[in-house]
Amino acid sequence: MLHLSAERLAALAEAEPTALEAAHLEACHRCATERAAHHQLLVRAGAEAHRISAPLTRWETLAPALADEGLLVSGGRRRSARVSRLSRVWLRRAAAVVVLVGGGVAAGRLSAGVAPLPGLGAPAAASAAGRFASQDEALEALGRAERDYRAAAAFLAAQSRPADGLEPDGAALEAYQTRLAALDEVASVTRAALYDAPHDPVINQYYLASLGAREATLRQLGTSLPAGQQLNRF
Amino acid sequence: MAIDQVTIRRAIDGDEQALRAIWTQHAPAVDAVVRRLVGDPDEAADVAQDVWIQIFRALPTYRGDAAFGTWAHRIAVNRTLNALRRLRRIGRLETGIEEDSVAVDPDDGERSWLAGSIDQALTRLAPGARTVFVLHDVEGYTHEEIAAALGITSGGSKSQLFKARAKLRRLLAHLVDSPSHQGSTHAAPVC
Repeated sequence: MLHLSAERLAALAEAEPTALEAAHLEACHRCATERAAHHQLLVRAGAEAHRISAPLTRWETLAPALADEGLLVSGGRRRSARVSRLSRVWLRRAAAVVVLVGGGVAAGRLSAGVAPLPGLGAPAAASAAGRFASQDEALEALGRAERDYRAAAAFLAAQSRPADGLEPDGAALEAYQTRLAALDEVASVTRAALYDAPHDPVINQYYLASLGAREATLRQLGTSLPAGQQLNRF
Repeated sequence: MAIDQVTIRRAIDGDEQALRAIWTQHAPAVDAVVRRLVGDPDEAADVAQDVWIQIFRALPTYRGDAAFGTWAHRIAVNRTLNALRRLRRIGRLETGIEEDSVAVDPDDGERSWLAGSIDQALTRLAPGARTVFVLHDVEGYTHEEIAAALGITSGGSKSQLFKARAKLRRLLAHLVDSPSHQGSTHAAPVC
């Protein structure tokens, strides 16, 4: 009696037999057993992917190789801690700048007779808890709020003037430059802080707000330049 | 436990603690796929070290779209295949299978050598056959993906896979508990 070839039986470990092959497998115990054995091996092979075993590499030999490649920095841990500490100092200073900038925006709204920005106070914990069904939902709402916040902050910054009574030329330009320098500092510090805490919503908020305000200030600075001059870089 | 972004960022900065944490968590799985593809334990250890250097070198490109383990696994497979090409193992893919087919005769001496595990049996396969079997049956790659990775056709990948399975079937006969068939004839498919 002829049987199915070894390779064909190996293929049938997962493939469907033809009608003729199926009829043969019904009648031939030997081929049916072989096919079942191949299927068993296939299942065992798939399980191999999840089998845990001791690694081939050793950290004692890998670490020097990584150092040679410049991928491992000796004393890196201490340097990272120092960078983090410096970042926190600058972040406090930058936060103070943002409070001044944000306070100026709010003062501008009040002086113009516009109501204060809604939701500036910390939301009551109880009301915030029941408002979102999941973290994803909350993050989505935060993203929308950030986009609106940036657009509104940029608009208000564009509407505000550095100070009343200043001549539109020299003193105003100096004021814009001062503002831009402060915003650049905020953006730089918050960007560095995002390396350590990329998902922190407060740091993200300050970073995005500083970028929006910087963009608006640059546009305003461009329109305030004397005739014949243009803003090339800042 | 998933590798968090803070650890990845610190590892990119060269922090040894962060690098070691990533290696500790993923080395068993990454090194295992290298070992299965390479076969020889000493060569596999050298290749695995190179794989880890490449993983850490590519760390800044990790975007978090896939799980870190999946991302590192892809690098491990690609780098190992490159290493095998450098060692001129996969270059003998077709001839390796042909040499392997010479031992199809069930009465050859290999029937007396039974492997204790799939890992052990894999070391008895020709390099090309081992690569196709590991990529398909163990790692779950499709024949199209294997063909693209190895520069062969998907039909060639299937053919080599079935031959590899047939040989492993003999080497692991005791594990699948199937009776031997002395004097059996496996000929052309029944028409």
